[in-house]
Amino acid sequence: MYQRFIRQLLPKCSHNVIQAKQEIKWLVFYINNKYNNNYSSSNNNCSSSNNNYNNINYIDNNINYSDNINLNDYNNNNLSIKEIIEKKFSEKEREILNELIKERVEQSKPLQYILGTQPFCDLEIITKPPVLIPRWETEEWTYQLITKLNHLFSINNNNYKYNNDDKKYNKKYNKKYNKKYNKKYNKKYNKKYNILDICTGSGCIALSLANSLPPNTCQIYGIDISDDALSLANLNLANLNNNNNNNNHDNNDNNNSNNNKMNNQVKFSKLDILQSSIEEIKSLFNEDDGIDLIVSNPPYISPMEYNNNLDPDVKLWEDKCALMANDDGTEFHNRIAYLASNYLLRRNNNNKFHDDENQEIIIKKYQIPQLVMEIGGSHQVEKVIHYLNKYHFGWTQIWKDATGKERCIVARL
Amino acid sequence: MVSIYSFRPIFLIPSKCLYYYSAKKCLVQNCTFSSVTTKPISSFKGSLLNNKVIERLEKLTTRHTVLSKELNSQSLDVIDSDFLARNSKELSDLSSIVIPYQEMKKTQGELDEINMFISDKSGDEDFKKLAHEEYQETIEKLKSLEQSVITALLPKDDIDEKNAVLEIRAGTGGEEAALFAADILNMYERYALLCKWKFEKLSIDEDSLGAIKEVTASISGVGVFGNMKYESGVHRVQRVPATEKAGRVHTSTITVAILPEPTEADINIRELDLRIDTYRSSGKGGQHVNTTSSAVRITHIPTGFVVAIQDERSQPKNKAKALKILKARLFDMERNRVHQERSYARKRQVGTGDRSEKIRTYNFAQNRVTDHRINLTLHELENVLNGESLQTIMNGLKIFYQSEALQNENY
Repeated sequence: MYQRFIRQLLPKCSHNVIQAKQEIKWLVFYINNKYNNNYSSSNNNCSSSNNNYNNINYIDNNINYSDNINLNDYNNNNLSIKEIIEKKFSEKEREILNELIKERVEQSKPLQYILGTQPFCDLEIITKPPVLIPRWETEEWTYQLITKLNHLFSINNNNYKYNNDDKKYNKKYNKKYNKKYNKKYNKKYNKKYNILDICTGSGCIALSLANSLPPNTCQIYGIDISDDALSLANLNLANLNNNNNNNNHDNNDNNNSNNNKMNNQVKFSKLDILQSSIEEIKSLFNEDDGIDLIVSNPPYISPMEYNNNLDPDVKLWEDKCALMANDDGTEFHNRIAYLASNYLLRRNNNNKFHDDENQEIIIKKYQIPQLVMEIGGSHQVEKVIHYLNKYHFGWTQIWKDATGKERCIVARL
Repeated sequence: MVSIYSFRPIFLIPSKCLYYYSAKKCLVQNCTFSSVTTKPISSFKGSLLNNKVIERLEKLTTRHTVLSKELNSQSLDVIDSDFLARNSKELSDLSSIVIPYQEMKKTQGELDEINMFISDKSGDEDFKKLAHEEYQETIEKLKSLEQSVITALLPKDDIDEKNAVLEIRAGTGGEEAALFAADILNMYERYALLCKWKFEKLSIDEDSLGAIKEVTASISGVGVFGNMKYESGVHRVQRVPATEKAGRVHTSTITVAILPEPTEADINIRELDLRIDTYRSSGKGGQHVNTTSSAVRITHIPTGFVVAIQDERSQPKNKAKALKILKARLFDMERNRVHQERSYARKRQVGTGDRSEKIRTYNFAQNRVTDHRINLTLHELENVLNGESLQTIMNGLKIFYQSEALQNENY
């Protein structure tokens, strides 16, 4: 039966046996967690790395599964997937698995929609058709961005610490100094770092930034045109606010104070970025506040690519308006660059996020951008760079993904 | 101070002194050098400290006294902060050595007194019994004090505080070896649990039904590497395998490697040196496809090390795991190179030098575990395999290697 399932899944897995085995494994855990918790290791989270099953690795194609040696004395926990399917699963569960695999193969249903979640950075993002499933490329550059931004936020923390620890000052002076410093500190830093996520979809980028940046440093806005996307993003937000106990536990980080909240506030709103007027867009944010960072994974598949050459997994299931864009897939990049430059971004000289001279140094050193946009590949680079130059972005850079493809264009004014 | 005791009782009245002779004997076994001792400072002959070390300790004590006097006599009006900082740092460093050493000397004095009582021929038998009990207690105390002196004396290795990457590979013995690898993995997992460390399996290459060909795990917590580092080597098992129908005892081996996990600062891999392969790397990627294949294979081109990970559904996470393992391997390689350069003058390699050395045997028929490096045998196999008695072996190893390091140290 196991072999049959593998054979069925092969076409969906570019004929890679290892991949097919992995998909079956994840489906088995899913069924196991959903319908029966008897022999899972007390952990309901299917993709938590603590789950015993999750760590099983099937790298070897030549394993002979017909070796039927009874070794139940050894490691009862580590049942093979074949064993779970054939011995532990009830008839009903096997039927469910069969159905799911049918859906996957015959209807090209993406695995992430079947399982209902996709890990993204340190979060578990809920996935629902037809909202775009977070891609690993996006996850990768989001990680990169978080690392860069954390350098920025470590400036003020360090300064603060340094002055507290300095033992040269006597107690009295220290107290006075601290008071003064705190006042200064508040004045300086109570302004939050504003992040805008355009075409937020499931909310994965916005929520990951909110979760991974230091507490109460940012205000994050996510916008999308689709009601499906917005309700899913809000569902994810609510889910994470409730579950954040677990996440904090995992990270073992500093912030025990706000167990029930994300580190930073996130707000999702409905907006059509192409059609809305400047007033409509600006009304979403505080009047005189600029945005410090704009991130976006806008649709970037050209109509031609969409019609001719797209996986059924993507084409049949995911929202067209999250995928396809005019102008060879660069319509959104143009619009975002225009809005960012003329209306949204905080200008360096008049209204800084905090006026520390170190800030400039850190930004230069770690090349922290103001605008990050995902692109579809090298063919879009020239066009997007052209837009950016047209709208006075002085510094641009291209980030490649792990397979060496041009994945992001980042820029500063 | 020459002890009368160390010569007299054995020759004159052997029967009466038998019990403390045997106590002494077991201590002397630990002592690998004492042949050149000319002037024993105490009757505690099992001491791991030789004359050279004692000399050094005496010097440190003198320096300690001088320093504390100097610091005390400093006039409070003219505080030279530089001088103060420098000297109080040195003083506190010295104190960690000198204070247990002085305590140890005091205890040695007590031991000598007890010996006087015991070896007194006219003494009362009951009284002697009491003295004997006290003798044992004092020896124990002395041993632990000596250990703290040795620990303080040896240069601290920062690496001991690091987290570790554990690698277990099944060696000779086919499936039985793979089954035993699973047992050993379980042992370390339990041990980590008892130590309150975090144990995370990074990748498992599992044969059918709970037999493990190769496994990599990351252990993090306080002082992980310092505790685990002597586990590297070949572990041998002798038992009737579950797969054996005729009931014969097989001997199989597995290899364990404990690598210190480097921090960001320890190792710097140039991105240019890495080749990262993923499935479906052809095609446009991004929104165009929705891939579920998250497998990542990283090749470090200069060394040819390859790490492949695919357990997580998130590709960046697989990549991070693979990088972690790769870094640990590279760091270990570099460390071994430095280590070997340093140790060429030594007669014996200390610590985790040789990975091919058979270090331990688990014999199921005799219910015993023997560590061949220190000749320590425990007749509680079950407790070792569930991690509870592992600490006993590790402590023994620690003492052995520390005293060895002490003798090899040049000063």
